[in-house]
Amino acid sequence: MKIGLYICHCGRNIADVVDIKNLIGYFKDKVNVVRDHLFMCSEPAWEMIRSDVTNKLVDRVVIAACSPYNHEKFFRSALETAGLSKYLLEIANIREQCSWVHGKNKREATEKAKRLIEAAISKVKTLKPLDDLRFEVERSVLVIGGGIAGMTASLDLAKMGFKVYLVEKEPSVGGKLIKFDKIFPLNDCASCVVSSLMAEVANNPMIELITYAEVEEVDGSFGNFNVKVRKKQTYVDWEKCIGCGACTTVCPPKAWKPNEFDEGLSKRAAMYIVSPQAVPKKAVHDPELCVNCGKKKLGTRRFLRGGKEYLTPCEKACPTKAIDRSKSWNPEGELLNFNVGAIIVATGYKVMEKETFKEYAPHSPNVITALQFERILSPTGPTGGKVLRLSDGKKPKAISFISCVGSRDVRYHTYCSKVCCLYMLKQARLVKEREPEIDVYIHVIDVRAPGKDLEEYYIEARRMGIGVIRGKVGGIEELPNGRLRILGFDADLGMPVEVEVDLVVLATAIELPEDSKELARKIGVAVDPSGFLKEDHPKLRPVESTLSGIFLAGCCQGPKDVSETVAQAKAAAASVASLLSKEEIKVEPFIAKVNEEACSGCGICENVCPFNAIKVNEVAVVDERSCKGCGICASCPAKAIDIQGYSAESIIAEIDALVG
Amino acid sequence: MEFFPGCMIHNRYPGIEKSIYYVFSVLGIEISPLEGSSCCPAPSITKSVSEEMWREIAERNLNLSDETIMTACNGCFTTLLEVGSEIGKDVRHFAEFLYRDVGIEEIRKKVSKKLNLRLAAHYGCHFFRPAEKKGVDSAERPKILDELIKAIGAESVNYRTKNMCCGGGGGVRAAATEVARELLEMKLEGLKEAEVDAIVVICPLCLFQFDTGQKELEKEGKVFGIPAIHYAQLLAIAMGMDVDEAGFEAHEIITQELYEKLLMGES
Amino acid sequence: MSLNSCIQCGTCIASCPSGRITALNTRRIIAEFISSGKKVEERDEIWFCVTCYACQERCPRGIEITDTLIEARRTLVRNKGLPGRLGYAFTFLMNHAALVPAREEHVELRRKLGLPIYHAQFDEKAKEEVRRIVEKHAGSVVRWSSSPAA
Repeated sequence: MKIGLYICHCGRNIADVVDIKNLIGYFKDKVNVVRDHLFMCSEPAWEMIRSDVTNKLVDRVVIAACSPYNHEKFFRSALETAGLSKYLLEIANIREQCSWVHGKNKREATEKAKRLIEAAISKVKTLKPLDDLRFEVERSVLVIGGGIAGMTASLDLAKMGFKVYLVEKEPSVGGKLIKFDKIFPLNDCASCVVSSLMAEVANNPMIELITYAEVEEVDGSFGNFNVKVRKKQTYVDWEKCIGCGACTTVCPPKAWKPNEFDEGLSKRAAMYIVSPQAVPKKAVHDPELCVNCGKKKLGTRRFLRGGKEYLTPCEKACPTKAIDRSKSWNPEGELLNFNVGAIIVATGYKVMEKETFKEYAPHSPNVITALQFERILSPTGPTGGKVLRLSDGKKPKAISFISCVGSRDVRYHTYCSKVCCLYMLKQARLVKEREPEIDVYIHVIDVRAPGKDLEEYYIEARRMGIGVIRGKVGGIEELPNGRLRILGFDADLGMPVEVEVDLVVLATAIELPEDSKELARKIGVAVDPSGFLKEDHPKLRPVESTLSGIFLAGCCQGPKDVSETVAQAKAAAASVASLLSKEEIKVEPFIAKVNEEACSGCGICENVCPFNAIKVNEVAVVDERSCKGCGICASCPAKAIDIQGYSAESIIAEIDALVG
Repeated sequence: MEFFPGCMIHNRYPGIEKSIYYVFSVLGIEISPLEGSSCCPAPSITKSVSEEMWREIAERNLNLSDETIMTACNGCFTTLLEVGSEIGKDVRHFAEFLYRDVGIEEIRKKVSKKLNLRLAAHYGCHFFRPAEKKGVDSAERPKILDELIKAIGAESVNYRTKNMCCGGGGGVRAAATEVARELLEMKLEGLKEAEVDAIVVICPLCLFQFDTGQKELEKEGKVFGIPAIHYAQLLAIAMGMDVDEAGFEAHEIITQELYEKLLMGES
Repeated sequence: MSLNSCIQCGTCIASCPSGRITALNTRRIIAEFISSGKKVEERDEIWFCVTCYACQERCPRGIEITDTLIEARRTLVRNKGLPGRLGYAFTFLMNHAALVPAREEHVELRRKLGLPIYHAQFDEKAKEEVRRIVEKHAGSVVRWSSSPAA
């Protein structure tokens, strides 16, 4: 056995703290080859390792560098190219776990680096050559979420020839963007951007659009996931429904509730079509809202004296007999089951409700969120795009926007929601364009407009006479006449300011909706401390989730504007395609391995496996596709199970070296 | 339970204390005076001089009894609650005790004379802030006092400056009286718009600021004429106590109109 | 949270009732602390704080602004004494165990309402205990602040 040790300086990241010369001297006689390099992740260093292996100077490699998370695969390729099993490699993390955290104690850091390297050497000695697992690939993709991100990714994949299942929880695709009037920086029509995509996903033969549905379960792993999707019951025969909307007009007011599509600013009935632009444009029945005005419970029949069946108002209104309350609809809907090779999560965001912010008079109908104001500005919204306040339908004389409501705030979210400055400027500009006499104020901590065309967009808003006041608002007083007094501060004047306005728009923080968090738990994707879905690496794997085969796109990964969302969706689609375009995929072989001679067939492993990946049939048998290598089964009382690459022998050797 | 009066109730507004004993006797809850208790001492101004002095005097007061200590002053509540939580003593504020332990329903049942008044709730900052330490109500829009006001058949009127401080806290009344007076005027401007019968407080220092402060403003020719009363006084009267037992002699601003409405109840 | 984490958003001063009419400007106090190291306890205007805690509750950086001002006052008191009538108030606390002591008319009202008189002000032993605590921690400040010269 010939061990090669390669120590990285990582520029000055490691070398400034850990004494590399000392390490070289210390290990010189303990291994066969010791080399160091300024950047071990560079091509010359890779070549150095490869040639040492090729020249048979080493047959086991230890690299002391950064976290294996960063470059392990790159180093493995050096071994593989030289004809050695790429798993005869061990990495000692002397950067994240040493130099970066012990910068003030150089001597101790060097001693710790020695221990970490010794542990890696001890482990590498126990390693056995391993081959990748090879699996056939299911050439289809599940995309969760039918907003701009999900639709873009679906279409890109469909165009590359992959079968796509696009699952949307609402009855229509379109996401948040279809609710908007215009979008920055071009102030082009949001509907024009998104409507064509909606039509395309509905008509592309490679896309199976499943709306009003939610992912219930995901099993299996990268290359072959088994997916269960619950298609919710619509109580309307969508084969027959032509989306005419006749049924939606006959529900009595008792069966109305705040319309989600208008962010609660209008009402919708128990029979409803999400929006005028809905795709598919189909009616849905909301049984919780239905007041049974026709006195005919779902699943029952009523007859008139002449023997003719009595029809409820909605049944009567429907010209195609798509509504049939006498049918026994299954309230559970339908469970769909299919296999996919990869998954893209594009479930989007929500904005915080105004009620959280009691200092901003949320009980006033004239205090609204920015998303609500989008509906007021929209031609399909409750005012048809006229700038009116909803409390009295009058045109406001003055409007104030308040920024960073729940963002950049330790009480709620420490992150910046990123898009608020610009959408406030956009909304303010739209107001000014339509009603130049309305006074518009934007209260901000500072205006954040980085990126192409955005600073210019801000300057144009200034030029239009929009009052940008630097200083966050403390509170709002409600005047007896319904007007609102902003208690603010003007940092440029260094003075408190009070502004009286008729309408206040709160730029509330963007966050991950609770049901997306639940979905993440269900499918095993990590949520990061900001509360958004965690990408695998912010720079190197920005669209990959922490679970292989599952990708992220859009605001579920963090706040971003439309341009960035589309870019990320396209990146996710391309990443999926690059993996699924092969006949088979290779997977790391770090899974449970049963020593059949030692196994007594007791079945403990079968009981403890969280992934149903192990079955006992006289002896334990591991399903290689399902096993995630978590190691719980390795607690086998007969010591008959080991995790390949992490055997008990390896781990004990490592621990002995660390504590010895 | 022992009642901790503090200086303001013992030495300025004994009517509040009288009312509290009346309310508790109607509710059938035993309460007795905490004998030998001194100034709590007032949190902000005492801490502005010496935190050790503040803590030691508070501990002396808290150690006078093993029972739950009840106060009806936001300042006493702050001092006794903060130090009490450090040394394991149970401290309650009259208003939050009524709301949480007695309950609105029970209070409503015990009201024998509904008071059909338009009232403005003023919580006093130290009743609920800092919210993390107090754990009593929302840091921005508390509701306990509004609910208590509704329980006696009165209307709790929203007004522009509802969230504002009375202007008397933090030693400002003593250190910079003119500032306290100007803040009071700001507060009263918002109250005036709402046309209420009275301001309802749950802290005798706020009461003092509203009451004496208005008298001072009158000397400058600024007349508001809005009486301030402690919720205990109001509740006791609603529960049948004689209006003359409420100690209104100590108040500067009590309108004839309010007095009559208190006397007559709902007509 | 330290004052250095302030992002100068202005929420504190926008929320400050006193700041609307006095020289108290919490944002500037923090700005000058960060930029030039000017100490909070060097500012007389912190006596204008009504300790309503609106700034502290709303500070998006979680800075304990009100508590910082109160703490700074302790140094200010030792350097400059107690302002306005506060000196007298603490003399009362030292001599009568009450920041607000009763006069005869107040005692009379208690009697009229049939209430017992039990505040430490009327209990020699209790009064002495409180006097000793005040003396120990603030005796010199109180005497200095309430002397005619101060």
